[in-house]
This record gives sequence, C-alpha cells and structure tokens, in this order.
Amino acid sequence: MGYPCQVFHASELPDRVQADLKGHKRKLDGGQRNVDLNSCELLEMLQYKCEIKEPVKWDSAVQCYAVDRLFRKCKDRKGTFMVETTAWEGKDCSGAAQQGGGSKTTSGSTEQKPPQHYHWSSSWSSPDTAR
Amino acid sequence: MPFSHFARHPVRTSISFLKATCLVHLGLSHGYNISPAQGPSMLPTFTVDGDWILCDYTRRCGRGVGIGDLVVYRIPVFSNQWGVKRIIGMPGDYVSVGTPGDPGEELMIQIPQGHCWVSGDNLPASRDSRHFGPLPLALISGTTIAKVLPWNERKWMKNGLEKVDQEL
Repeated sequence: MGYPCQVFHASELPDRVQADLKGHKRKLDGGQRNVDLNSCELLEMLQYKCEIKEPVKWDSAVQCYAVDRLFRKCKDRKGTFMVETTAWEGKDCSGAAQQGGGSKTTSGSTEQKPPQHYHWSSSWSSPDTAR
Repeated sequence: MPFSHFARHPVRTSISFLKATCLVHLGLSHGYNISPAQGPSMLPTFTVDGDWILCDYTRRCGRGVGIGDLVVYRIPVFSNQWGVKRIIGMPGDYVSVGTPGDPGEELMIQIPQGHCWVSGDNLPASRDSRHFGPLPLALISGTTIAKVLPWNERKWMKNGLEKVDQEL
C-alpha cells in the first residue's frame, strides 16, 4: 500500500537536494555549482494541534496550538522546488557538514548501509503502525 | 400559456429538460459545487461539523494546485469517500514523513513523480499522507476555495504558505 519511498535523515538534505527526481545533478543558473539551502527563500506554514475541551458537547470550546512548518524555495534551471526544512532549520549546519565529511571519510560503511524504505499503512484504524 | 406550450411539444420539452439536467450535472461535477464538511482533521480552518465549503472542480487531477492549497481528494483506502487536506509538497519536493515537533520529524522523503503530500491542519486528529503515503495527483478532484456556511463565518480560503521576512 502506498508508493515506496526512500527515507533519509534531515541532516542529509543539503546533499539530497543536489539531485532531481531522476537522480541527475541539478543544473543551476549563474555559474553556481551546488544548491545552497541557506540562500533559498524561506517560507512558513502554520498548522495546529487542537484539543476539543469537552468532546461530548457539540459546542465545546476548542484550543489550538500553532505548529510552524518551514520551507525553502530553491531554484534550478528547470524551475523551483520546495524543501521542508522544519527539522533542519536552526540546527548547527557546521555540525551537519562535519557529519557529512565524517561519512565521506568512512564512505565504505555508508555505502554498505542499504537504503531504507518507508512502508505506509494500509489500515485506516491503526495509523500508528505505519512504520 | 407556457404550460400548454410545453404540453403541445412533449418530445421537445423532454429533450430540453434532459439537456438542462446534463448541463447542471456537468457544472456541479466539473465546475463548482457546495458540499458539507465534517471531522476534526481540519480544525481550526473548518469546525468539526456544520461547515459547507465551495469547491473548484476545474482543478481535478491536481491541475494548477500548489503547496498551501486545500484539496478535495478521494481517500486512497476508501474509494467512495472524499477528504479535504492541505498540500505540503508537490512532485520532486522534499517533505518530512513525520509530524513537526514530534519524534520522527527528521525522516524525509522526496515526493515521487505524479504524487503530492497532504496533511490536515489539526495534526493529531488527521489521517493523511503520514499514514497512506504520497497521494496520487489523479485522486485529487478539486480545491476548496471558500467556506460558505455558516454564513456569518463565510470567507475565502487562503493559501497557507507565507514568506518569512526575517532570516532565522
């Protein structure tokens, strides 16, 4: 059930955004070689976590807490694409870079690690078993 | 007398009536339609029950939709039920498969070709792409453009995506 997708950690985003859907390296305007997430336009979307105070009453009060989702709108020669950076934004980028560098030096171990795929649930009643 | 005119031409009247019915059906199914919405998944944009929404069915199959739009889609696990959710990502975009602020939010995917990622505004009560995965664009039947009833709460739906002026 559902389309199988390869999952990756948000810290890999700066590397992952360099390739398009077909796995080809993105081509950029203005002589740039790589997509720089930090220089892409930052956008946000508010979603919520709501509580219905008294679910038995039809006119019960509802209290909502805002959840901020962050996105970066990046450009390549073919157009724009969006990257959700909620989990990446504000993290220590140099640390992520070091982590990336570290994985390069131990590239043997990362290459051996098989790509992980996400399995979606086919059950509507037990969404918590999606993983 | 108009009635006697119709009575004199029963065949012509029947054909005209049939044509009008087809035209109305085409307008409602491929144009614009008002329908009730219920469920807690889109709080606070829509209330749990009693809201009527205006939908634009010219945007079926994801034509012209973008991130932040509200879409009406056929629920992949129930082919005869429709849901309303917000688009979080389009084909080729990168999204989190988890819930922002919860464990698992750092797991990301790139949305495959021909699919999008949808999520309800009320994250804990919504069953959306976090459960059934990327939604095929072909299951989108239209967009929600306005809340019509209750009349005193009528409003146009706005796209949820906004620019951030200040860099973090």
